[in-house]
Amino acid sequence: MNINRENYETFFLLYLDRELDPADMQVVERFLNENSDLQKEFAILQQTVLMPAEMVYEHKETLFRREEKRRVIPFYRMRIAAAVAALILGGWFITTRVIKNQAEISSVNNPDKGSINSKVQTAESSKTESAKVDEVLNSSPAVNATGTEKNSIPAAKKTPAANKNDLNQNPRDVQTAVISQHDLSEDGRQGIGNELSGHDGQNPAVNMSDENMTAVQKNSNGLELQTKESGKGSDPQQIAAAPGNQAPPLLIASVNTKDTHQESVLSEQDFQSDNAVSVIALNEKNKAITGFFKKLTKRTPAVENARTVRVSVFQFSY
Amino acid sequence: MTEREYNQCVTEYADNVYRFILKNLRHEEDAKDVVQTAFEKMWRNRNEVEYEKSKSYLFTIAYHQMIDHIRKVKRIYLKEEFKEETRVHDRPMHNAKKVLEEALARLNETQRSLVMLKDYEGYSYEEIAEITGLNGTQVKVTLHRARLILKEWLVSVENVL
Repeated sequence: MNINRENYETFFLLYLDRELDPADMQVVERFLNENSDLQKEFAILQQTVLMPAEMVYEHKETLFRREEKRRVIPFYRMRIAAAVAALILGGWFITTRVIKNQAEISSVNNPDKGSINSKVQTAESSKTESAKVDEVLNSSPAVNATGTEKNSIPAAKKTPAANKNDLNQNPRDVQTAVISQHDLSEDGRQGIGNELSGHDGQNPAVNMSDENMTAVQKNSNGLELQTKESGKGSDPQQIAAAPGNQAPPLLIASVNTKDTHQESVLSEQDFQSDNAVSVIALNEKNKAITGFFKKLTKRTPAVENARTVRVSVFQFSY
Repeated sequence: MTEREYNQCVTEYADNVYRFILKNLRHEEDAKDVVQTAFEKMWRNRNEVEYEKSKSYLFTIAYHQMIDHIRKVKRIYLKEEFKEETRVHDRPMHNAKKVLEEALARLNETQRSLVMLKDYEGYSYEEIAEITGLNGTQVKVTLHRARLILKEWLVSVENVL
């Protein structure tokens, strides 16, 4: 730094503005000491420097700020909420539909409280040669299904009360009721395939014997055999084969189309042969029974000499 | 800058900014309005302002806000200056501080602002250049010229006395 009497004013101002490093400041101070006539001018320039003045801005609280708390709802929460709402609505819809279907099923199939009825209409009886109904009541469904016809024939001749007694002896066993066994003419067989589940008495599906109609009904005390007698030959016969509020029954039916009653013993081979049809269905909705009978009649062999159709309904409680 | 840092700026710099503006405008309410506007702008732009530079940012806003305000009321301001100048000559100056304040009134707003930023806030030439938008040389020259004006004014008053 080269300070002299020509340029000292600038260095004085730089000195007062604190823009010089310490070494240069010492140079200026030394220059002042060496040039005492310039000290008065330096003092006047020194007076141009403003002294700090304390000033207070009142009401600083008006300047303070606080960030607004903004509530941010993440979008995934909305998605979760939408999913939950959809699940609730879907569950409600399915539940209502199921309840509605169950109500309809129970109203159709349970005109009587707590029972499942398998309705078999029989009408045509004029052309049947001689309807014979065998009741086969045994404690073992397997035995019934595989053809212990000979053992069941005497039971068929029992009175319903006797059958009922037999059932009550083994209330927990599987009960079997032979709905009907009768000879069919060719016309009769044609009718079977159409309206087994119908109510129209003018177009009966199966010509059931009006002598004995048995059904197995399970009440709270056990299984009970009921016999319904038909009022008229043309009226549909009903079989109540329902366990009431108990577990849905397992129904097994078999059809035999042997010529004679004695030959209509169901053998194990007959179940899958042309002469016999057996269908096993779980009767939860009762629709299975209807489908079962339709299938049964469709598979009834159109054999010329087929004269008898045996329909056996086995009710299993489990 | 966070909310806490902003409020810290209010605590630390509100008085300084207010002094800087009030010394220039010499009008208390206008100075408060300028200060309030400056802090309001800094609050809005707090996400772009670093806390370490908050003081310079605040003075920059306040300075330009003050210049705009001065330009709006320039005619009225000049009338007040004239009255003050007349008054100076009418009465004796016994207080060097008051003489200096009156001398400051003779500076233009740029010169006065530079003197205040230098003397009150202790900013360097470069920092003043950033605040005012001038370059370092302009700040140096302007500030030296302002000092010489003040000096002449003080010398003249002494001569009168």
